[in-house]
Amino acid sequence: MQIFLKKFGEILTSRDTGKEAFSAFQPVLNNLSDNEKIEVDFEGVSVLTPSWADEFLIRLTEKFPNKVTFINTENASVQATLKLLKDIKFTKKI
Amino acid sequence: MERELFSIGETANMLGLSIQTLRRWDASGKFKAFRPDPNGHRYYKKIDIDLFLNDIETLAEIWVNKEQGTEPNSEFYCTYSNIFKIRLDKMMADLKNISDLKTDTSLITAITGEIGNNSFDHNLGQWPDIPGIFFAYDLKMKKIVLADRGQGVLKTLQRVKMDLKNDQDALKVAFTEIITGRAPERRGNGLKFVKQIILTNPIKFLFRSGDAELDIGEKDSKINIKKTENQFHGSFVIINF
Repeated sequence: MQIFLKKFGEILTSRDTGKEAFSAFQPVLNNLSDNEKIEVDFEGVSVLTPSWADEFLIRLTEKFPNKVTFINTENASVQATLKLLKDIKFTKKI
Repeated sequence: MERELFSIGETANMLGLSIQTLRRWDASGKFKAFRPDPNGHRYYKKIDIDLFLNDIETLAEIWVNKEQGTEPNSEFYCTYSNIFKIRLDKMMADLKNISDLKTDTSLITAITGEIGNNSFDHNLGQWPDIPGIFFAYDLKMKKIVLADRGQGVLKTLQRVKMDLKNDQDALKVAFTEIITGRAPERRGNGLKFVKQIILTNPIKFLFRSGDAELDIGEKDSKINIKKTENQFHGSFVIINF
């Protein structure tokens, strides 16, 4: 399964919108088969912050440990957010 | 004829500040009074008051220091987080028009978003007087100002770290310690993210909360925290990029 984050918006900054995005995506996630992996695509994302990531990406990796990979993470704020998530060890599960 | 000179009491009333705050700002040079007689009373010239009010940093500082909370100028007031989001999107678009920017626009927007959203997240339903934040930016001066009249870092951090004793320690923890206690609220580590970006980019940063002030110079590789004479509830932030 691929998740195109830009479909949630180009500027992903607040906890509220991260929470909303995760809730809205539940029906799709519930259809994930046992062996299926999740690829999160950051293409087109202009801004990402740890607050949004905490509500979406962390919840996603908590729900599906070892299944989530990230692609197109070149944006500077995406890089900085992912670095922080790694530093706080949440990404052990990623 | 319009008056040109005002007493310290009249000026304090006009700005909604205490006389003590004006005296302190006079002594520190932030807002100098005019003294016709060097040993006499302080006065303020109308032109100085107007100039003083013409700066976003000053407007935010006056707002957080007001004795009685009032809503700030609507131009800078984000009552709810969705209004902040719209204005943040606009700032990002405006930043893209600056040709000599030394820091990536996505990083400037990300740290501004993280600080503004923190104010909303940690004060939801618990604003002491005026809800929402002051948010303004000056593209010419390359300056962003954010402020709130919320509970401040110490009080909100004490929810997950009860042994915190003062505002200086609270700022230190907020910017340097990974906070793992996540109940009862899901707690991010946004200010660590802010610090990480400031330390690796040419950004000057100031964060005040309670009676503590944290600053990071443009070329600093560390944070400096000190106690201030002034005490207010909420937070006050300046980002020079």
